[in-house]
Amino acid sequence: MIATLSRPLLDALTATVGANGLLWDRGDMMAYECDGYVIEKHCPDIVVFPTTTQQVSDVVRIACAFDIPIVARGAGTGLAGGTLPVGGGMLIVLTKMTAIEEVHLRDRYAVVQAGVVNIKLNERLKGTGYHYAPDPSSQGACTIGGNTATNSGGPHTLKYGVTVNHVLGVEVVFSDGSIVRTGGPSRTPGLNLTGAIVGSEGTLAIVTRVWVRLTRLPQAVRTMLIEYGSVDEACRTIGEIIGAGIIPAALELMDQGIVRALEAAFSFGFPLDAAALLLVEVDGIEDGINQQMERVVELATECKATGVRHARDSAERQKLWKCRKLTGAAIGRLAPNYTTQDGVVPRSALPHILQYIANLSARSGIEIVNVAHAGDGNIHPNLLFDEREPDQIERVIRVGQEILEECLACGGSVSGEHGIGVEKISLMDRMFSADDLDVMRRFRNAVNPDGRLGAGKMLPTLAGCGITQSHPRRRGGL
Amino acid sequence: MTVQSPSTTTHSEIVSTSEDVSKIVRAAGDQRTSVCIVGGATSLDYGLLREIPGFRVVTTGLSRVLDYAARDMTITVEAGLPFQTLTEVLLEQNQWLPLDVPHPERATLGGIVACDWSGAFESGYGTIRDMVIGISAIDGRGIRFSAGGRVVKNVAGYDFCKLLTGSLGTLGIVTQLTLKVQPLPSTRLLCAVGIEHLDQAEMCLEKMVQALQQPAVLEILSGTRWTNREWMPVEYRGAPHAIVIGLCGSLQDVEGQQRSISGHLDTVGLKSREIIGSLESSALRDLAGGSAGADGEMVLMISVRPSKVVDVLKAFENDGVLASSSRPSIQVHAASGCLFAVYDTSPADAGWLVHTVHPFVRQMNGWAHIVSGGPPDRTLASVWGPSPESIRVMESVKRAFDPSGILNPGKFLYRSM
Repeated sequence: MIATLSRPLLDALTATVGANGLLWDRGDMMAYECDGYVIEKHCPDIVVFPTTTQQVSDVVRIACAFDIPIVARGAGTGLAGGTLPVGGGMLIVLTKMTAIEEVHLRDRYAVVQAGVVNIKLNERLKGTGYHYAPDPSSQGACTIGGNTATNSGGPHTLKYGVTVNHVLGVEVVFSDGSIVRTGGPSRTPGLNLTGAIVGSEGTLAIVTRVWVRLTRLPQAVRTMLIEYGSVDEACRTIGEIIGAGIIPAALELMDQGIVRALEAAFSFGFPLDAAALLLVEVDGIEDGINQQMERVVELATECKATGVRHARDSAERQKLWKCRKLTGAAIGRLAPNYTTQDGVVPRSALPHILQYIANLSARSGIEIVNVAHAGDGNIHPNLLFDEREPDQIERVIRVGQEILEECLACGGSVSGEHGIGVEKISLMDRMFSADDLDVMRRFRNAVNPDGRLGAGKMLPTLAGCGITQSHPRRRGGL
Repeated sequence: MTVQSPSTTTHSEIVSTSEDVSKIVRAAGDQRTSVCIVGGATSLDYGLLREIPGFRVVTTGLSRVLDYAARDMTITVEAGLPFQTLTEVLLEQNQWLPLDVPHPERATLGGIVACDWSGAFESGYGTIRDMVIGISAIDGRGIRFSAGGRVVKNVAGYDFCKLLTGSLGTLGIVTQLTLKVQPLPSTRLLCAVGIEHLDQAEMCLEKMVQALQQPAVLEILSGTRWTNREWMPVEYRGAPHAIVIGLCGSLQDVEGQQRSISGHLDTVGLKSREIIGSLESSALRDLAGGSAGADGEMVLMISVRPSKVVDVLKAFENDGVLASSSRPSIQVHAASGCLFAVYDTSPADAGWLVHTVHPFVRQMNGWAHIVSGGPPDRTLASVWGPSPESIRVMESVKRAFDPSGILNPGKFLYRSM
């Protein structure tokens, strides 16, 4: 926490970004006290909105001069508290850096500033036959800089990969204010710093510009909704599809709880009596696509699917995806608050983990509705609660932790696409050994030597670092 | 194992456990000597120093398959496993790791990762860095560390899988890898297009950008050493250049892709001819080996934006900036812009590389480095060219992983280690 916002600090920042590029009134900053992880909140001391990389650099140098910790933030759609200003300090918000600077179809890449909203790039590419493949559910709001920091995924990662598979290079500002570019459209010799910076959650550097790969749009797409009388049968289908050598573009699972919420919100016509639905999309070229689709239906039938509904046209397909991507909004109808977990298990362990979650929900009294990027084994149990009931918060935290611990016991991970942030920091020493974490710390210290960037995130620290322990969830961070 | 002092300039130890590796690194640290890492010994020439006195850790004893979850399409192996062995194991489940590397019977997975080899399938399947999802290694203090995991989607912790890929063993000695594998496509097809003039090559590549699907293989082969191969369609034998296109998928997929590509080539007056399509084909073996040089040869890798590839190829033509007394044979991964030029002989000194090659490539915003061979007076500037702007950070990272600078010293582009 900055003791006082001194006049020299405000003057220096105002000279850099202008008076309109700063917020320091507590009321004005309320929107920045948390991201999509609403369980924990902490107001920053000051919020800065740079518009250029040079301004980011200048602001970081000012923060160094005044010894202020920094957290970088995009649209704040993250779900793990990665942009929570732990212990206060300066929030550098990159949402004013919105230029799509270059698009090169021949070389299949684009250059964007960090604050470009994910979907805006695809809107710009409309009609070119190309797209930017990573499509997190929040793609209408989240920024490509934020996607880069968290290595975001989305429903189509099964075939197309996560953000790191689509980032060719980055321009970053390090904690001393230096501006460095790593990678780019041609292969650069030396260490692959780009790959390490993607997903580093702002703990190494502030990403200001991204070179992203563009991918050919598939000529043909087939989308279908498959109904099941049990979650197990839906999971068995997933294994059969992959086992048959088919890699669908997307393979999403929704349980009955989430389907009811979606139907109430969007009246799509989802079958309310189905125990589970699989949303399957195959894509490719027209010649082979129907054969692929028919094979998927065949396998689903063998696994006792009770119904298959095909998206008849592009509009119906888009509506299906809109519903899927707005599950967050639909869940809002079920409870005042919810938190989404992000564990990963081997695909073959999906039936086990979903049954485990059902048992845990019954035992704890915390209602849980599930969606999953099932083809990746990436589960998103949504834990419903009311933040006005402190007891419920405690239970939600405990249940969330138990789910992730079970994912680890299955040989999985605590995060498939949301990141560690502050939410899962206490689980890092369950997933990694002390030596693993030591090497990660050494790496972070090499790149971010004074720890100014992203303090209290991702890695549990060994000793107190002046950050207030404000939440039981973050005990591992102290 | 008992670690002995290196009695000669180089002391080889074949390791069979990660503990062995750790002991050697600790011993090297105590004795203030270096550790050179060797897999299948197929790329010993890669990097600046050819001989590093001290301990030589030979990883070929680390060759077990630890876990093959075929239904999850992941496999965990020790780093010394040869690529060919991995291919055979995966084939039993109708899967593959879509790479092709020189000397697959000897090249180890750890070596492939350390050198960041990818090969001709890069166009359709990406590079090795996209396939490694878990890694274990021994750092310069002898400490074993891991990152990533065994599931296909995982963002917990720093992605050392990416960082260690291509680091030439200078950050850690890789002991174990988890790889994301793919179902083997039922149909694979290779076709070739003979090219008389390089401008035709660019026209052809532009058309490939518009194809329905990015081909799995998209290679430009330049020089009669390539176009005289026995698998080249007779009508294109001896052509100055050829483009090889590989298609993978179901039969219907591949037929559709082929029609799309033929249609695009027609519009620029080119015709593709089918070669053969199987993993065992001599054409694929040749393509895999194109980036490897024989004794006495120099292999230069140049990386530029894909649209600049033809400009670079023109520079190798008569009177071009990169022309030399013996014209190199050249293989280009056209989708990524990576070009491998194999010269029969190495230049007599480093001057041509430092003063001509590297400045020319940098002017195109590209990079060049020597993969093997080269002048007798190899220097940092001749092998790796000018330092990238992130070199300072790379050096800090090197110090974090290897504080005493004992892992493969002098190999990589660090200025002082």
